[in-house]
Amino acid sequence: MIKPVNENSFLIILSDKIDLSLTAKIANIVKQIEFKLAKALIDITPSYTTILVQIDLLKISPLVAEQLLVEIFHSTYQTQNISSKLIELPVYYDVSVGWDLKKVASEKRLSIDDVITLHCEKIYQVCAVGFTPGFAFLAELDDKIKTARHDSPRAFVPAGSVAIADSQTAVYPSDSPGGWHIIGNCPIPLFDLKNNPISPFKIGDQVTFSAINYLQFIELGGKIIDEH
Amino acid sequence: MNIESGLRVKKAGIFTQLQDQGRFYQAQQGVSQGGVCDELAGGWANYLLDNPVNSPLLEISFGQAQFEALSEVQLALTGAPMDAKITLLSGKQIKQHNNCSFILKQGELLTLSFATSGLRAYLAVKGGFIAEAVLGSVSCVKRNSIGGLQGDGGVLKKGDLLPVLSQQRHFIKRKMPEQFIPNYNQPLSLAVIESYQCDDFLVSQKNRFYNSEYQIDKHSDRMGMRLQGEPIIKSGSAGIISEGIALGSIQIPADGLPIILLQDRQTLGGYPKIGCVSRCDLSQLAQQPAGNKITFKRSDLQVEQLRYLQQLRFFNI
Repeated sequence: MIKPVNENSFLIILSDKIDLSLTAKIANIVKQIEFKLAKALIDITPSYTTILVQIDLLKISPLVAEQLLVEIFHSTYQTQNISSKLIELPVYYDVSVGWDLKKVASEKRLSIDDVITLHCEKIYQVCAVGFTPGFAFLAELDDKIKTARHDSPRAFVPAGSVAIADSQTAVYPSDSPGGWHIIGNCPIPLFDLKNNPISPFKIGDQVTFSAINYLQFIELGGKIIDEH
Repeated sequence: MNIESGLRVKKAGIFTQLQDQGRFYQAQQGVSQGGVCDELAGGWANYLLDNPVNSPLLEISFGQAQFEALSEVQLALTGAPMDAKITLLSGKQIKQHNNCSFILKQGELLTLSFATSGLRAYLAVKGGFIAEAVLGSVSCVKRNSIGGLQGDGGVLKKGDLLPVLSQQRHFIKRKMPEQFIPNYNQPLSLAVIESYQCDDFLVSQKNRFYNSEYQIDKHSDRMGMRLQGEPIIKSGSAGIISEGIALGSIQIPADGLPIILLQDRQTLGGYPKIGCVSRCDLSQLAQQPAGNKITFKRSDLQVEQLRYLQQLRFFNI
């Protein structure tokens, strides 16, 4: 379904429910739109179930753009061209950097090792990028470690923090406030304004985490930051 | 490219930022678009100097700024009138009119006090202020720590130097035609393009929205205009799955008080929207200080597209 939003934006709606199989389709549609609209595209914002498309009215008429979007929507809807990349991220899971690791384990009646294993076992999909620049929403967590957000968010979460909330996980790309439960830290920088793109995550990409030890963490540039 | 000293910031003002048209094609990375809040006033400031519309300029919110010319510069001042004055080398102060281009000679001071109407003034220089672009734009977005003079999202501060391109000797004084100068004190009724989620609101709620007067809340900023007034209730659940947010979206959060999303809005949001404020009317909205009252009126997508296209054509060609 394609709906006009304002003078120069359309929203492509694929579903009204979150469904992980959609992210590959969305990634595919984004690619097609970037290719076909080319310079007439001002910006494109994919999310869990929708894609916001902003066009340059000086370069394309909204009627022509809408028709093009309808064609792309129908031609790619059935195909399942997965052209995503797999990103492997090292994580130091430890209470020194995973400020909520103990809390999550005790609330879920698991050992800390179980929480780590359950978090590492899954292959996650990038469902959306937003909140702060380079923040990728990854789904879907194992049911056994699904955890609600903190009642009140922390004012400071260090860059690299690997965190979980509801059925999702993420790495905070830069220092920021945040309400997710922190279980570890990824020492690899995931955000650099001098790069374009500024972060490796794109919707439809797949992400896995692997546990590293303290020495590996420090060798990769990791830092222990105390809470407070 | 010859660079001259340009302007020195003697007083930064309450909230003064380097801006351009915004940072595009970065929404997939979660980066906000930014850009001038009042596209009309920003566009005219560059137009009066025959600059490309995207030339970096200053957005001076609330006022209280002072600049010293370190070399002779051609300037244009538009938007909210701030009782601008030029201090000549002799020490004599003269009034500087808004909405025209003018010359500030080496050693002279340009002083702006508080906005007497409206909220934001725009100060452009011939050829644009020079700063390193971050992801294709100098637009300062504080919440992303991106853009501005140092590239880190910081606002202008006392002592900052604003370099400019070598100024031409040739100067043409240009004025905005009277009929295009907006009156920011006029009652403002914003044209609304109703969008796909509009049907999630009952007719009675929509009537309430169009028949009520809303007041600009003091917590409004470049991210969004928060409104006080009659709350709008959405039928069904209060949240939606996070989706991309268009400029001007009228978001209805759980408390029912509308928020109109502006240039520094986050890329994704999970509140339902009753519609979008027309792009052309957003310029007038950007000039409304806290406490001002606004209303909404239904408009038509095609009409608003043509209005916006007209504005784009005027400034882009």
